[in-house]
Amino acid sequence: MKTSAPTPLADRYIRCEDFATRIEGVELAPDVWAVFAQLAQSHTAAEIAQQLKLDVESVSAAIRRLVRRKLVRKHVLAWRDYAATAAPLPPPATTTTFEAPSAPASAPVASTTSAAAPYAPSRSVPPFYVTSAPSAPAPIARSPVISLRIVPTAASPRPAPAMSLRIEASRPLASSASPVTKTPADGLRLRPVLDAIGAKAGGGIAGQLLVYRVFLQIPTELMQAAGLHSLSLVDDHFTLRHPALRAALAETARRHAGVDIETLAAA
Amino acid sequence: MSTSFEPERELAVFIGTIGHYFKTVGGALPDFLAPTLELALPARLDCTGYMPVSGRLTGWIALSLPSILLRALLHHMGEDRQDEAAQLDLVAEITSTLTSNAREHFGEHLRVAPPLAAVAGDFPDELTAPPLSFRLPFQWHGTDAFLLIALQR
Repeated sequence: MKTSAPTPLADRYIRCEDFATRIEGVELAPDVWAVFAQLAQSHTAAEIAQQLKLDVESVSAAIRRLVRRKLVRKHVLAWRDYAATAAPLPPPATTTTFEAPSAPASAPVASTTSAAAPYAPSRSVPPFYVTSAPSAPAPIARSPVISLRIVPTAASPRPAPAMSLRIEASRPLASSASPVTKTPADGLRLRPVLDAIGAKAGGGIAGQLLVYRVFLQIPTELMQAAGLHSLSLVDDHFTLRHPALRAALAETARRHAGVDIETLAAA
Repeated sequence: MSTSFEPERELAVFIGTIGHYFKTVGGALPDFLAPTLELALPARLDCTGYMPVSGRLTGWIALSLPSILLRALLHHMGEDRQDEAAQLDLVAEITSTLTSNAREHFGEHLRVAPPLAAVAGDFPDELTAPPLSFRLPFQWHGTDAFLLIALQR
């Protein structure tokens, strides 16, 4: 499996030593040059974003463009060079137990380790890619991105929607529950139930996510038995007729969203 | 950083950062469409960035983008190279940006692991298929893509 790890936000960048030989004739947006100007010294994208009061996304994109033009490179050092300038390291820990990284997730990032079988990056791999073992424990929390090319031994399962529930047009859910219309004799109209659940989280995307979390608690087998493979939150006509699924939904809606669907149905 | 954690609202904030990325880097907000709940893992588009999460929620969030969208984004960014490696690199960059923002926002409530980027048919060994996923389609400049939230029970 081929892996690589660009870390445009966590890595430090600096001007290439020979940038002057390539800079002639290059035209870039002022913001990109502003980023370039900062890189006379080693900085991360986040540091530059803070200094220039720009979005980190913009700075990251600017660095990407500068790297492509070989004006800027990732700031890496040989151990000999690092050791010559760094403060003495603390004495080694006495414990022999490995501890998973526990630094705050937002902590500054250091270099990644590589414990996998050596991987020779292809020529097309961008210069800030490094090889990395996805399962190797990193000594310091960091945020590498690992690109995977997995031999497709097993195709990913594809959905085979057996039914589609149209709960609402393609816009956020209303923030208040819709009144339940008369329930068909042997079924439960789902739209008002979903609206009521969604309203508990304030509607919109948050409400839809609460609907998701409620359905997530329902045993998969029940949904399969009811033929419910793909539930689209944009249909107004679906009626739930599977008794066991209805009971499970009632239980999870009550427990996770505080919604009593039988009361709704009886209203 | 949040002092309390309401999963749905926080995930909604996370989704908002995706819109912010496209607006900032690509010049236009994407149009989010109606989501679906999927019992089977949906087929992914050409390049997908997976962002594993743990803590108050366990699972992963994925951004799945088609080649045509990635090429358009690379073109917008002034990139000449738009081959598959460059597209995968861009997905990696986007998810790296999103996870960085997420770490800053969520703090210890939700730990976001290093993202993984994969081409269409590949699914990272490190991840587990969820019992049910939340698929949020969106369009950017008329091209379809989607976000996938895949949590464990």
